[in-house]
Amino acid sequence: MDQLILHENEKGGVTLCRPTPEALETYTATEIGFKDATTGKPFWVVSESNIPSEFLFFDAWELDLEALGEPTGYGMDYEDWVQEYKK
Amino acid sequence: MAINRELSQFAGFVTIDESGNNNVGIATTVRISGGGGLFVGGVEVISPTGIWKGSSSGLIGSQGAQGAVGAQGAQGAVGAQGAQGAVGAQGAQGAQGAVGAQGAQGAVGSQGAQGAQGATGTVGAQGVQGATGSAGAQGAQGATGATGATGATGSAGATGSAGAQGAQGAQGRQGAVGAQGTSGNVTVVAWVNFVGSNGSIRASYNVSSVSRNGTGDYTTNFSSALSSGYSYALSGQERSNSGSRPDFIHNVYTSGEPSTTSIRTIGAFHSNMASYNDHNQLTVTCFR
Repeated sequence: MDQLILHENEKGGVTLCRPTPEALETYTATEIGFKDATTGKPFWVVSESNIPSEFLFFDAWELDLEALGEPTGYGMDYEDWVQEYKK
Repeated sequence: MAINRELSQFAGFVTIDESGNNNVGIATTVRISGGGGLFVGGVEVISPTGIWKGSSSGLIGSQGAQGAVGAQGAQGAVGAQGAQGAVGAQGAQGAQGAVGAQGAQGAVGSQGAQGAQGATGTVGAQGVQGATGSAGAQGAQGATGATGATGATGSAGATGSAGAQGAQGAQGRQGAVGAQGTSGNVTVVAWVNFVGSNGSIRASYNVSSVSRNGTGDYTTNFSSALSSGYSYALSGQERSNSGSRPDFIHNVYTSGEPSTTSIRTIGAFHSNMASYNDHNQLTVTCFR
């Protein structure tokens, strides 16, 4: 199953970030999370099997922080990410 | 004379004339006459009285008495030069000589050491003002103008950049305005096609991820940041279950200003944006 990136958005809802196949040829999902998650906000890399398959009520999703545990990382400023991870 | 000889032994040499003259001859040349004269070669040389009758030639008489003193003879020739006399005694030291002539002028002496550096001169007068600098080079050709917005007539190229500043001196004239940029080729710098309902990605270029922020609300994140001012085209289509071709073309808008790292889009069935909707086919294309 694909790995997805979850993080909270500015509306308090959930943002589901799906890495593209082309990006995964170069970067890991975590490295993509550093770049594409909101700067300074935590994100979690999860398997697609661990999220609901029904998106009809996506806007009502909430992050279960207890279940997710420690975040995988925090979003970075793009320039910092370039210095750290750009390939 | 102790030897006595017979006269006969000399007969051949001595003759005697008995004819009355009584001459005695000796050999053939000498004869002594009976009268007592002596003859030689028939010539009486001594008379019977003993006087010399013969030639006086060759006869030397006894030395006569000393003659009177003769007159003084002429002066003799000058005698030979006498031998060189002995070296005379060394003479006394001569008087001191006169002062010698002045000597020639001496050679020129070597060059003296360099003198100390002179004091700093006074400040020179201010130079005249420099000539006005030449005009600055013509500005480089303007960058390719941005492509016009979709649908509308393409916008003109941006005005070229200003000419470079003139050379030193008075500031050069401003360079000529660069030529208008040519219409650039359209280059797609990022694109993605995904399923609106769940964000599943079909294909992409320079897109690292698609974030689903909510129904119909997506953010396309670029793998490499784009240059600012890029253009974009958005499209949303819905396909009914009855056919393979899309049945609806939906409205897709941007949400906020697109950034160099991402672009956020909103999809809706209606232009009044009354509600957001997911599209089955959602394409974001960025180009310049």
